[in-house]
Amino acid sequence: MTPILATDRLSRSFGGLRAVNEVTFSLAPGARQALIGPNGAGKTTFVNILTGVIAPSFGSIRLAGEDITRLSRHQRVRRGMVRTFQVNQLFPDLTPLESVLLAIFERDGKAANLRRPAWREEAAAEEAAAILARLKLADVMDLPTAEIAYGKRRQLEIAVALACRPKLLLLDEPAAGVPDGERQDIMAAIAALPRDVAVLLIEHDMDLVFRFAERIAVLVGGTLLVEDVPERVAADPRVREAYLGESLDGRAA
Amino acid sequence: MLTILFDGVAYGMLLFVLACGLAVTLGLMNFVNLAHGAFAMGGGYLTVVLMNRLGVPFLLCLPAAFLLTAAVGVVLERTLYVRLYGKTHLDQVLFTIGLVFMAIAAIDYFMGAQQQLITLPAFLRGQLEILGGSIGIYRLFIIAICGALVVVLQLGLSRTRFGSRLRAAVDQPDVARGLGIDVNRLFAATFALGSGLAGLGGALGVDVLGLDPTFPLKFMIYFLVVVTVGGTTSLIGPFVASLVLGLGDVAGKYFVPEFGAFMIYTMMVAILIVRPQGLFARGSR
Amino acid sequence: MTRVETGAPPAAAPASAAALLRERARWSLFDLLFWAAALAAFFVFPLRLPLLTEIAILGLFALSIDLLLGYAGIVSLGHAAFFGAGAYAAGILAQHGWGEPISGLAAAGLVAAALGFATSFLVLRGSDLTRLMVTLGVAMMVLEAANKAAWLTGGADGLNGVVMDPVFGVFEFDLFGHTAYWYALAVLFLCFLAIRRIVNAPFGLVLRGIQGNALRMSAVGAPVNRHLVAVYTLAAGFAGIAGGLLAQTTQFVSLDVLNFQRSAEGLLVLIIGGSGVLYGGLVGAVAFKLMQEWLSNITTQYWQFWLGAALVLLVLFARGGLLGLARRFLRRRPARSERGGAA
Ligand SMILES: Nc1ncnc2c1ncn2[C@@H]1O[C@H](COP(=O)(O)OP(=O)(O)OP(=O)(O)O)[C@@H](O)[C@H]1O
Ligand SMILES: [Mg+2]
Repeated sequence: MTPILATDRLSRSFGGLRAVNEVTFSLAPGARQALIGPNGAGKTTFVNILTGVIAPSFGSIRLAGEDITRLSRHQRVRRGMVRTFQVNQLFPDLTPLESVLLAIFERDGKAANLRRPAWREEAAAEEAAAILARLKLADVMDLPTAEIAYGKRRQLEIAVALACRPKLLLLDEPAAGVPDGERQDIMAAIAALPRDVAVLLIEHDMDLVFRFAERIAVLVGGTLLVEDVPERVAADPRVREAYLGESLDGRAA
Repeated sequence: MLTILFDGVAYGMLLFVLACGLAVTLGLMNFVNLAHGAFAMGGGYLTVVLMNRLGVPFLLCLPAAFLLTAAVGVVLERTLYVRLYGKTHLDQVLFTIGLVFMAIAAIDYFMGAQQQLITLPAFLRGQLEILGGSIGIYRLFIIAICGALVVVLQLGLSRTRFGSRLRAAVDQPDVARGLGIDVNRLFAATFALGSGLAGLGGALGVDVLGLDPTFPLKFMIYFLVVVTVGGTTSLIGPFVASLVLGLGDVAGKYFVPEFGAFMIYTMMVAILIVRPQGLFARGSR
Repeated sequence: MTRVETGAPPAAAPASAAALLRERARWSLFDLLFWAAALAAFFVFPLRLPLLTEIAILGLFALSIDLLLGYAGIVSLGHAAFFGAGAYAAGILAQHGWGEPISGLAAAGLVAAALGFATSFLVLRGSDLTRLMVTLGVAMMVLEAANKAAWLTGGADGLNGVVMDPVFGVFEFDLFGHTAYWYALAVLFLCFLAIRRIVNAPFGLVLRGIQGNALRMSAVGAPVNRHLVAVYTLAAGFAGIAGGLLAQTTQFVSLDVLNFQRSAEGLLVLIIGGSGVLYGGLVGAVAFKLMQEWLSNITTQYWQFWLGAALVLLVLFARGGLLGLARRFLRRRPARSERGGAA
């Protein structure tokens, strides 16, 4: 089966720093994979390259067999690769409802419509409301995003991504800084994704990682160290060494 | 040919002195100061008043223009500009456009709308014949002064403590703050220097660029081109951009007078198409 | 932290998502009052019709800037380029014997939109600063071109000999400006309706999304550049219609339709009223012209000084403009509801 995502020696340096170094990596459709690594390992940079936010210095990316290395950001999204951001990237003046609706309009090719009032798109509005309800955002869906609580905004990050109907979802520390209760909501929403959506989860909380992931990749200093099932990754001495001092289960947030 | 080259270089260097303060304000505090030209105009009018009304010799007017505009710069920076640092570019733009309009109207009120003239001292007038071309002595003077300034600025920036702090602050303001560098004071000093240089440029430029109340608007586009094309990460970028602009503008007006005024716009568009991030952008971001 | 909205009675709750959206897009009492006042002005100030016409034109110009700046967040220093292009297009057509106003106005809009489309590709590039430079540069280039092409534009002397046919072949442009006012007001209203429709359509959401976070827009699959080209072209077209109106109602065009002051004035008007709000430009135009009238009774010559001072003060103290101030006082309805519909 063609992997949903395959990178070939993907690299990016900043000045002398090799933030991502010859990463060759693939994901099967429907995968539940985690990407872990110490701070500054290059995880976010990797996602940025995949999604076209920054260009690779070298290497190529295939999405479902198609070379997308040179495609623009929105074209990658149209082909099913959607991400969330480690640091919230939301629309502060839009309400959650509007934010999700916007993603739906873009997905359905209705965004360039100048004439039909947005409220007439009832199916889209209902879908948006359903997505928001799934992430427990129903009660704040009509407030400006800037005014809702941080944990809720983290959830909105995911809601907006889900609205794009991904085939491959890249989640960059979705639960970072979120209080425990809401953390469970977020993980539940991720676990409830349809099985044909491949998920790559970047996360520092090893509890979450081991509960969620069927496979784990470890990135250290820009280089892919191992990629294997959780038990073997946990047992790997190189991984333990990379996390030097930090125990693999549970880094204080 | 030589004449054009010389005029172009002199013009370009003058532009650099006028615009480099803007580059630094922009780089340091990410502040868009469209009123930068008003400081230059201030220096110009100061020179006119000092020379024509008070009979101060031209060479004395230059440092006076520098110091007084720098002083005005500091006062405005501490009282007004400082309120705008955290705000959006739009706010900064609107605010500084407002200042420009006020400056224009004020100058118009006190000095009238006409072009201002000064009489250069005798030793700066006339032409030199070199290699079959004739070169204005005043242009040479401008090149010498501005050239010296460029060297001093570059050395100051690369060799002194002030310079290294400034560079640190431009590159990474937060880190600089963390290191205990007083970015605000640094900025006030830099702002003063930048306004002073603009004032000096304005004084030097009275005879070359012309001076009337619309000066800040007329040259706004030049300043913007210098900083966008040259970037704000070093002085070399704006310097090269100024020279290119100066040469292009002079050559354009000489060779294709009909088209001359379009020269800088054409260059601007061409550069933008070829190098959207400016001539000297470091990599892509 | 979360603001609890107590104002709107929860009678109809829980509202459906579509109903929530619709609530924003409703016509309100303010709409009715505003346009009724515009109609009434004709009867109340019969001697000030030229001024009222100017207000309508300025309001349309500011409204077109609002689409660009208030909704999409693009700062332009050169919107006068499109105003002027429209003015010259309409003026030159009429001068050459095509005096039919409505088609002339359409031509003005199209010419300006074409110019906007052509230059939009430059505006896409780079940062705010680059945009400032490009928009200013393009406007100055157009001004210089109009100045040089004196055979077509009349250059510094202005475009004379603009003669308009009656509107619909019936209503002559009269000396008192009766027809001019009705005509300008009708055009303003139609353009307002069109822009209102645009901002209430999915595209309006797109524009606010781009202003809010262009990075996220691209991450939800939005072709941001294509959207920007579209809004730039649209805003240019509406500015062109405003310019065309000026040419047709004053039957004269001079180079200052293109100058920097015009662009800055448009910005100022919008900021006075409040940007990102449909009525910002219109309320701003009323306030601006009244202030100009009042000040020019005191000092005609140094008007520019007060214009500058107004900008400085607004930025420092009243960034939301008049409508922003009004909204702060009238916090009865949810503050956001003014976005699409009322005010
Ligand atoms: N735009 C950039 N310019 C220069 N250096 C960068 C840039 N982006 C990232 N880096 C550097 O690249 C390295 C990898 O950063 P990255 O953000 O990808 O790490 P990460 O694995 O996501 O870390 P964390 O777990 O803290 O989020 C870091 O050393 C960082 O400083
Ligand atoms: Mg990261």
